[in-house]
Amino acid sequence: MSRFVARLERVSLQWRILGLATVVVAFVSLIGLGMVIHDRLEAGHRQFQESTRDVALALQPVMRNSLVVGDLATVQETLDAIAYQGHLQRISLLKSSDRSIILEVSSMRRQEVDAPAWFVFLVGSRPMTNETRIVVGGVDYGTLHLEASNLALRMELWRSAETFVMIGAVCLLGIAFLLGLALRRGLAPLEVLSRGALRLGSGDRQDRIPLIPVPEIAQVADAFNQMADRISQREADLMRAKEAAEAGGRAKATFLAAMSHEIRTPMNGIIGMTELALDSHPGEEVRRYLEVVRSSGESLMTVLNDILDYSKIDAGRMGLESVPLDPRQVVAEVGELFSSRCLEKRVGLIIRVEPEVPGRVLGDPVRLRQVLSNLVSNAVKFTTQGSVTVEVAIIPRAGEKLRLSFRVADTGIGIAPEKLSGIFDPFIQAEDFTTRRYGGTGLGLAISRRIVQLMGGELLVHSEPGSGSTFHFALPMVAVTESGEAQGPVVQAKAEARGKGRRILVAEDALPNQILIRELLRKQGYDCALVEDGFAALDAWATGGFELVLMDVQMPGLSGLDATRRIRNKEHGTGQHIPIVALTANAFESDRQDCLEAGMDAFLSKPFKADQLFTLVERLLPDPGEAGTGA
Amino acid sequence: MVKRILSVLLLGVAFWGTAGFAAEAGPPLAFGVLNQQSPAKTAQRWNPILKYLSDVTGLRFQLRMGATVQETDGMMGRGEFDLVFTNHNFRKEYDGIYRVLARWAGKPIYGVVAVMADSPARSLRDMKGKRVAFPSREAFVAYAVPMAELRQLRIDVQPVFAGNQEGALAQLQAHQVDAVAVNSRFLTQYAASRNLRYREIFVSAAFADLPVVIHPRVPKEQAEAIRRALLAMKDDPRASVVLEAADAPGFESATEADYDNVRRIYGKGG
Repeated sequence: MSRFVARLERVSLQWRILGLATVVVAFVSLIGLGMVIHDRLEAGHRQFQESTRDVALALQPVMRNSLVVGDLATVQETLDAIAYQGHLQRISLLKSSDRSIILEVSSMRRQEVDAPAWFVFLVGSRPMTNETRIVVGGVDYGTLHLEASNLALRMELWRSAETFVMIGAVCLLGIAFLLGLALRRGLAPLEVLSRGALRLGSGDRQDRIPLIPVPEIAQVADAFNQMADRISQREADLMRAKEAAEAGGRAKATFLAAMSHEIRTPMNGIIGMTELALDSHPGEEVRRYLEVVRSSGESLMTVLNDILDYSKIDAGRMGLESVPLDPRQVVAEVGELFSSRCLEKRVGLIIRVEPEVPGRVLGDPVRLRQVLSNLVSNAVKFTTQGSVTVEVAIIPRAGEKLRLSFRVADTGIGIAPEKLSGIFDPFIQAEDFTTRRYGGTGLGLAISRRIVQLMGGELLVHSEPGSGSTFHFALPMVAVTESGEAQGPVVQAKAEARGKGRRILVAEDALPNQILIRELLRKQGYDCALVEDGFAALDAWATGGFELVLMDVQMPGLSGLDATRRIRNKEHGTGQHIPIVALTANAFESDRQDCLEAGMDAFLSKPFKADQLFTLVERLLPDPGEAGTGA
Repeated sequence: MVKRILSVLLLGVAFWGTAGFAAEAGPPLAFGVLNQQSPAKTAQRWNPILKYLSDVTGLRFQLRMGATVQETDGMMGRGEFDLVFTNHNFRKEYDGIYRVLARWAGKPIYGVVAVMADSPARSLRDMKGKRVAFPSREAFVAYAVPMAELRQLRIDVQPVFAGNQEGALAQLQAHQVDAVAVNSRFLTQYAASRNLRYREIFVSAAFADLPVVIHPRVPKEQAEAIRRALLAMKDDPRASVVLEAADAPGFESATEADYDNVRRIYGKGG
C-alpha cells in the first residue's frame, strides 16, 4: 500500500486527475451497466414468467380435459405444438407427488452462439422455469413444467453490454482526451510559474509572471509576483544598505589613510629631526632629552602602525608580497633590532638558524620581520632574566613543499593557562596590568596571528607561568634556486663615498621631510635637488642629470602619481628609464599598487628609517657611468 | 362453532370407523361418470364428491371417463368401472351388469322439445321435415326420449347434433334450427340466463335422474358403506360445501325398478 502511495506520489498531478477521473467514470459506468443488466435480467425473467403463465393458462383447459380422461396422447400433441413456438426449451408434465416425468417434450432448437463463460457465470445460466399444477376438483393431475434457457436473454444482454462497453470506451477516451486537454491548458501556466521562479532565482528580479487565464494559478502567480516585488524591494534596500556600509567602510579606510598620512608626516619630521639633532653631537643633557623624544616618537609610530595594520587586516586589505628573501637575514635584522635592549636588560638573545634552511625563499620579508619583531619584542619585554631564543628550522616532510618553522622562546613570566586562549584577541594582554606595566597596544599578537594566517601558517603558543612562553609558527615557503639575483647581505656599512656625485631629485612638499631626506642623503654623499610639487619635478627631470627620483605621492598641483605617468610617457620610445621611488604616508597595499601601476619602481612608506632609504636608493641606482639623463 | 367442532369430531370418528378399508391399499375404485359435460367440468364437480366419499368410507376412488360418451360407454361395457354415474347401463347391451346403488336427488327430469316463442309450431306434428337440434345421439331425455315419441308419431325430422345441450339451444336462439330437444332442467336454467323466449311443444314423462350403479365385484360391505355415505351427504354439513360447489342436491336411495321406464325407452331403440 505504502509502495503504491509512494509510486503514486511520483505521478504528475495531470495524470493523477486524469487517472482518477477515468477510473471513476469507468467504475460508475460499469456499475450502471451492471444495474442495467440486472434490471433487464429481472425483466427478462418476469417476461418469461408472464408469457409462460399465459401459455400455461392457455394449456389448462386442454390439459385438464385430457388428463381427467387420461388422454396423454392429446396432451403430448398439444405440448409438441407448443414446444416449437417461442423460446421454450423443455415442457414436462410431472407427477406432483414425486416429480417423476409423465411425459416430456424438448425443443430441437439449435445451439446458438453463447456469451463468454465469465459473463454467463455473472449472469447465471440457470434456465427460467414456470410450473403450474393441474388440479381439477381438488385432485392433482400433475405439474406442468415449462422451461426456457436464458441463452437468448443472456446473448442479448451480452450484445448490449458489448455495445455499451464499446460506446463507453469511446466516450471515456473522449472524456479523457478533453479532460487532458483542459488540464494541459489549465496546468501549462504552472510551467510559466516555475520558469518565472527559476528566472527570479537566477537573479532576474524584474521578471514577472504574465497574466494567467486560470483563476487558481493566476492567484498563485499574483502571490508570486507580489513576493518578487517584495524580494526586489528588499534586495534594493539591502543593496542600498550594503552600498552605505561599503561607503562607510571606504570612508573609514580613507579616514585611516588620511589619519596615518597626517600623523606620519609630522612624526616623520619629529623622529628624523631628532635623529639629526642627535647626530649633531649635542650636550649630554640635550642628548638625553632627544633620546626620550625619539623613543616616544617611535613608540607612537609603533602604536600607529599597529592600529593601521589591524584596521588593514580587519578590512581584508592586508596584501602580502612574494619576493625573494633570506630567512637568515630577516632573523639577523630582528636580532640586531633587539640586541641593545637585551643587553640593557641583561637578557641573552640567542639566534639559531639550521644550516639546511635555504638562503633564498619567496615571501614577504617586511611582514615576516614584523611578526618576528613583535614576538621578540614581547619576549624581551616580559623576560627579566634568562634568555630569548629565536630559532628557524626546516620541517622535514616527504613529498611536500618546504615548510620553515619559526620559534621564539623566552624564560619570562609566562602566561596563565586560562589566559592563553585570549592572548590573540585584540586589545587583550595576559593581565590588564601588563598593559600598564609593560606598555603596548595589545594589538601585536592579534596582528601577528592574522599575518601568519595570511602567510598560510598558524601562530601557536605554549606557556607555563613562571618558566616562560614559546611562540611558534610554520610557513610554507618556495625556495628560490637561481642565483643570478643573489645579492650579498645589505649592510649599512657602505662606503660613504658611494653616493658621491650622484644626483637625486627629491619631490616633497612637506618642509620637515624635505630637510630630513636632504640631510640623510647629503650625509651619504648624494647630490640632492629639492622640488615642492609635481610640475617642478617634471621641469627638474627635464633638465636632466638626475639618476633617481624620490617622489612624494601626495603633493599640491601635480600629484606624484601623475608626474610619474608623464615622465614615463615622455620616456616612452627613448630607451630611458629613470628609477622613481614613491614616498608616501599612505601605507596601504592598494596605494603601493597604485604607485607601481603609475610606473614607479619602488615604494617607501613614511616614516622610514634611514637604512631603508639607503638600501632602496642603492639598489635602484644604476651603476656609475650608466647614468641616464632625462629627455 | 359448535357445529364445526362437532363436524371435526364426526369426521374423526368416521376415519376411525373406516380405517379398515383404508388399510387395504389396493388400486382405487374406478368411478366412471357419463359425459354430460366436458371432462374437466366433470372432474371439477365429481372429484370433491369422490374425495368426500373417500374421507368418509376410507376407500379410495379415482374418477375415470372417456373423452366421449362412446368411449365412456365402451369402458363401462368392458367393466373398467367399479362404479358409474350413468343411465346408459340400462341399455340392452349393458343392462344387468351394474346394480343401482343410489340416485341423484331432486325432482325427476323431463325431455322437452321447444321452439322459439314466435314460432308458429304448436306440437311435434308441426315438426315434420323440420330441423331439430339434439345435444348428441347419446343423450337420453334430450334425444332418446323425444326421438322415441317422434318415431311413435311417425314424424321425420332433420336431426342436427350440436355436441351438447348448450350448443343445441344456441342454434335455436340463432334461428339455425326450428326446434331443440333438451333436458327440462337445463332449458329452464339456460332460458333464464340467456333470456331465451321459448315455447314447449313436447314434454316427456318424468324420468328418475341418473343413478350411481355399482359393479358386482365390489364387496358388499364396501358397496353398503358407499351407499350409506352417498345417502348421508344431503344431511352431512361437511358435504354441503361439496354439493354446493357441484350444484348438486345430493343422493337418495333408488331401486332398479325406478329405471324401468328408461329401460323401456332404450328398448324402443333409443
